[in-house]
Amino acid sequence: MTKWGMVIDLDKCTGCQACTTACSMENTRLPGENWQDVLFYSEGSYPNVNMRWFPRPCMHCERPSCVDVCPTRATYKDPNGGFVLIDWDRCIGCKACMVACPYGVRFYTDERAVVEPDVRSVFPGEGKRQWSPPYSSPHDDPKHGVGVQPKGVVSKCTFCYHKVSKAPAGAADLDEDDPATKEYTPACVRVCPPKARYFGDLDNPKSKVNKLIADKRGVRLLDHTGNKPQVYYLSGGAGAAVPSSRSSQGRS
Amino acid sequence: MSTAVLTRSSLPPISWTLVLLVLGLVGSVVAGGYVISQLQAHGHAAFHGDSRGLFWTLPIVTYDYFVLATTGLVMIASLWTVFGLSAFAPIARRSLALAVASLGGAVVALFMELGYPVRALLLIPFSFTWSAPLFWKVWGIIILSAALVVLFLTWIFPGKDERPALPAALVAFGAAIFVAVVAGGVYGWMSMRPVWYGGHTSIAFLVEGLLTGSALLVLFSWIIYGFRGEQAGRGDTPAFGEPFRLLLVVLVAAHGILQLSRLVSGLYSNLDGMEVWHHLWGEPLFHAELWLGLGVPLALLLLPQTRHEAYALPLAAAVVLLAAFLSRYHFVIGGQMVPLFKGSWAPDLLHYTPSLAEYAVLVTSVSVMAAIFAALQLLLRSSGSLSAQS
Ligand code: SF4
Ligand code: SF4
Repeated sequence: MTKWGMVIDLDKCTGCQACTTACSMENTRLPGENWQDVLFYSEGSYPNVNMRWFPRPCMHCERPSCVDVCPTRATYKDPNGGFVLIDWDRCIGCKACMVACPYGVRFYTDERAVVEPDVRSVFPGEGKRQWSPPYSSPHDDPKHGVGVQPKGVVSKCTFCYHKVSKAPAGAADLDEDDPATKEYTPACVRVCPPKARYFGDLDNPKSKVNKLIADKRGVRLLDHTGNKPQVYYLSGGAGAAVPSSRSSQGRS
Repeated sequence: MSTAVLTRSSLPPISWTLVLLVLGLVGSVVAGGYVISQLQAHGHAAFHGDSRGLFWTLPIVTYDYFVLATTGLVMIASLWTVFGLSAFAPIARRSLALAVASLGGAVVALFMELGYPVRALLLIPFSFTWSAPLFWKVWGIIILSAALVVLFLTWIFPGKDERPALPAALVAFGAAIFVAVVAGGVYGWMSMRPVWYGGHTSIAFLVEGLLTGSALLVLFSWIIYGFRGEQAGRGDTPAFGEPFRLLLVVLVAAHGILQLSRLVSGLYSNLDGMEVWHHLWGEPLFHAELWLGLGVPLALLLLPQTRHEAYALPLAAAVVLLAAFLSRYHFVIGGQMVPLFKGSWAPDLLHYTPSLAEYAVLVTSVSVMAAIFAALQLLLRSSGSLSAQS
């Protein structure tokens, strides 16, 4: 059974945010409500300043806590591909999943605009749609949380379900450089200029993602939570380092 | 065993119940209307939650507060209906009426918060998500509501003097404990949220439920007796007497011990996320909740100069209710103040100020509760049942 996963090489990532922009366009995100984001952290004070960045999509966890807490089965683990998806027709907007996700990747966009002007008032949505983007977007597929986010529900990265789910059967990797798989490759992977992202089948021993994880000692974020992300980070074996939230408080 | 039957002269005067009803209805219409108009105009942007990390805000605080009060009220009634402690017999019916009213206030807040409340009603009970605390909590509330309906139809409205049938009373009691424990679990079972995490959270919810339930009962008894404690005390209810004074003292003390132990471990711990406790320690409102909220009721109820005064119990109850609400607020908001993985897009600690619409949700819930309680009192009075209860 295919289990899609992503590998992000932190030594290659330049923090350019091309992935964030591509994801926002691909998935018609409201400005600032980024399913895929590159988070920046700074530590210390001048002249000893350390700046780091950290690309962060949904981890599509193997044991997702968001699925466990959802009282309506709106959030679910798709056995075909291992995607964690949201059925917008079942979501009630209780936000339990947002509270339970250790990686902070979920969005309830019925809130004050993150970026002004509020594009929802510039391009008002029809029906339940939050807004009507002026550019084309994937076909609305509410059962898989794809398309323009409706009002009153939660959304998150789908691993570009609308592309990946149509990939040729048995594909080990989805690579933008391979004409056979280019169109099925997630938008963030496809645009990454230094090729810091890889996408493939974690259940296929021949996939490049598996080789990278093995050869470069891929690690998962917050592995102690037991969520078992399907996103791995390569960091020269040093661990996927994100400063703790206390690090900027001058504690030792 | 029969309970003390009220004489007409010791019935609460109808005037204050009417005042409560009118105030409740006006509050429900005005505040509720305002929330609905804001939700229609701005959607949930009318509330001040956001996707950076503050997901559950004042409406959820309100909802939990009233759900817990409901569980506490049912447990207090159970002192008579299940355990047969006759000192609590005269207030058991009123306690259950208030439990229904409090549940009404909770549901109103939840419905204003949810993106799709009707969908929630249809989907949560029948999705059978065994792993979700909210699934169990909703089923607990459904069973509790069903038991309350049975108690009303078979015991309260007929105005029977004897204890109600044990099965319904037992189910209500069990469901109340279950709901309080699972409501605590909604927070306490989240290992990714250190401020909330731990088995003690459910215990704290149980105690808070009992505490707010008893305080609500005292306060509303006092109100319907026209703010005259001595009148109520002489009449039909021990709500102003020794058993309740002792009960409230024990509950405030238990709540205080739980609060202080969480505070000390929070301040001591260097676990990421626990820095919230240091932030709370710098907040005047937190200190008011802690020291005034615990100290004033204990002083009023224990000092020889005040403890036998008619005003002591209702005043202590009012302070307890305010402090318990602040405690719930600090708990729910505090657990979300450290954003999970938001990088420099979000500050180290998120700050939250409720919007006017969120305050209006609170006012709506209080008003709905008051209106339902007053309406039930009037209904019981007109059916003649009130002469067998307080
Ligand atoms: S990262 Fe969060 S939202 Fe994504 S699958 Fe894991 S728990 Fe769920
Ligand atoms: S907000 Fe929607 S997806 Fe999240 S837990 Fe509630 S119903 Fe499930």
